[in-house]
Amino acid sequence: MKFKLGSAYFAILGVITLAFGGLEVVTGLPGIEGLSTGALEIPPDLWRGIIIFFAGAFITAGAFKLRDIHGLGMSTFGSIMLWIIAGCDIFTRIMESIPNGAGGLNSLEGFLATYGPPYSPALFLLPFSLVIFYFIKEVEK
Amino acid sequence: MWELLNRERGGKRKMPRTSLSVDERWKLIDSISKQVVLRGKYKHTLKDVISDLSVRPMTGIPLALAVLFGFWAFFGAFAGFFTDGFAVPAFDDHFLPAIQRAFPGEGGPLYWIFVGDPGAPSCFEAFGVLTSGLFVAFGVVLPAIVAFYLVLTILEDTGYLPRLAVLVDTVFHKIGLHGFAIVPTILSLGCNVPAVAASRVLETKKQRFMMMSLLAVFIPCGAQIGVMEELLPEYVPAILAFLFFGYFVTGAVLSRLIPGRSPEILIDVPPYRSPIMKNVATKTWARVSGFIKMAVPAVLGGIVVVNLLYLLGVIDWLADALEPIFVVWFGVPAVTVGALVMAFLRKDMAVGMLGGMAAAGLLTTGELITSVVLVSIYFPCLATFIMLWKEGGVRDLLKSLAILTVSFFVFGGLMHGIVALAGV
Repeated sequence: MKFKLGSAYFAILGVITLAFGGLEVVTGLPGIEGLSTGALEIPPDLWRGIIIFFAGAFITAGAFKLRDIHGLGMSTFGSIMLWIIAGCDIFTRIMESIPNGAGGLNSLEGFLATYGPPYSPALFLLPFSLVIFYFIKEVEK
Repeated sequence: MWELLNRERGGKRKMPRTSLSVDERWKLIDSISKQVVLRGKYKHTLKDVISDLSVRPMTGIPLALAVLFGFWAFFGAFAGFFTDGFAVPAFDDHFLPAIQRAFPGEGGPLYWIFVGDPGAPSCFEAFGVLTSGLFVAFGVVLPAIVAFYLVLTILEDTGYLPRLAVLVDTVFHKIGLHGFAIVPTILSLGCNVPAVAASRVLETKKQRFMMMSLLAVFIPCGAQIGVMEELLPEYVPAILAFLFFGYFVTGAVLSRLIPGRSPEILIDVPPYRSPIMKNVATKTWARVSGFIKMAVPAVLGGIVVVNLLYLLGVIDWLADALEPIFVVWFGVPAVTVGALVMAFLRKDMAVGMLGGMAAAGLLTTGELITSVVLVSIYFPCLATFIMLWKEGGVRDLLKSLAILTVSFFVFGGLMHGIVALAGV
C-alpha cells in the first residue's frame, strides 16, 4: 500500500517538477522575462529549465515502478538532479548573505533578509523530493 | 598452485613443470575460480542503477548538464563571495588610495611600474605590480582557482569523471580522440600546464599532439575565466560556447589532416563513493599551492615587463604596425596589442588589462568580447608554451604554433562577424 501511495506521490511530484522546468525553459527564451508571483520566482534560465524538466521526467518515469530497484533508481536519479539545482540556490544565498557589499560583514537583518522569499521552484520542490529516502530505506530492507 | 593442478589430475603427476599448456592453464583458472568465486544471482543496488543511468546518453547527458550547472554556479557564487564581497571593496576603497598616496615619485617610471596610473579609480585600471598585480592574483584569481579545484577534486573522488569520459566517448571519437580526453580538457579549465601533462593519458602521438594543441589554443584557464566572470558575467557562457565550438571544429579538421591512429580504449569505471573530506582538502591544497607558486610570480613579473615595454614605446610601435589587421579583420582598436603582449605572460592579467581599457572607455562591450576571445585563442601563456616544448619537442611546438596562427585569424575574424551581426 505504501508503495502505491509512493508511486502516486512521485508521479505527481514529477509532473509538477516537469511543469516548473517547462516554465523555466519558456522564461529562459530570448525576449521573455522571468516570472515572480509572491513567494515563487521563476528565473529566466534556459539551462536550469532543461535540467529541472528532465529531473521531473525521470522522477515520473521511475514513480510507476517504485518497488523495483530500477524504478526507484530512476526517481532517485531525477531527485539528485533537482538537489544539485536546489543546492546551488542555497549555496548562492549563503554566499550572498555574509558580505554587506562594502567590504564588511552583513547586519543581522540583512543576513536574515537574504533567506526570505521569493524562492525558485527547485527550492520549493526540494523538501518534497527528500521523501525518496524513506522509500530507499524501505527497498533496502 | 601446482598442488591444485595436480589434484585436478588425480595426483598422478609427480614433478612440477616449468610451463603449462593452454588447456592446463584453463583448467587451473577453472579450479581457482571454483574455489574463490561465489556464484548466484547478482542483485542490483541503488548505486549500480544510478551508475548505469549516469553513462546512458538519454539520462547521462541531462545529469552532465546538471553537474556542469552545479560546477558553474558554485564557481560563480564562491568566487563572487570573495572577489565582489570582500576583495573589490578592500582593494579599491582602501588599499589603492593608500598606496597611491604613500608610494613616492608620483608619475615617475618606478611609480608607473609598481602603482600604475595615479588617477585610476580601481585596481583593474591602475595596472601596477602592487595594485592590479596583487588584486588580480589574490583578489580575483585565487578564489576562482580554489573553487575550481575544490569541485574538480570532489567530482574525481566521487567517481563521476570516468563516467563522464564514457558518456562523451562517442563525441570525442568524431575528432580523433576518446572519452578520456575530457580529463585534460576539464583540467585545462583550471590551468593549461597540468592539462598538457595529463594529455599523456592518450595513447598515440597523434592524439597527444592534437590534445595539447587544442588545449593551448581553445581552453581558457580558471584564472582567465575568473577575470572574465568579473568583467563580462552575462557573456561568459557564450564566449565559452564559442571556444568549445572552435575546439571541436579544429579537432575535426586536425583529425583528418594529421596522420596516425585513434584507437578505442577500455575505461575502468570505479563505483560511486562519498569523497573523504581530508583527501579532498589535501588534493585541493596541493593543486592550489602549485598554482600560486607558478602564477603569482608570473603575474607580477608580467606586469613589470609590459609596463617596461610601454615606457620604452615598444607597445605603441606594435599597435601602430598592427592597427590595420586589428581594426579591419578583428574589429578591435589597436590598443589591445598591449593586452596580447601581456597574454603571452599571463592570460588572466591580459583580460584584466582589457577590463581596465573598457572601464576607461577605450573599448565597447562588443570589442571587449572579441578581445577576450582573441586573448584566449592567441599564443599560449609562457608556462604552457614551455610545457608544450617539453612534452612535444621543438617540431611539435612549431606545428602547434602554426595551428594557433590559423585558428587565431579564422576564429578571431568569425567572432568579429558574430559580434557585429548580434549588434553587441
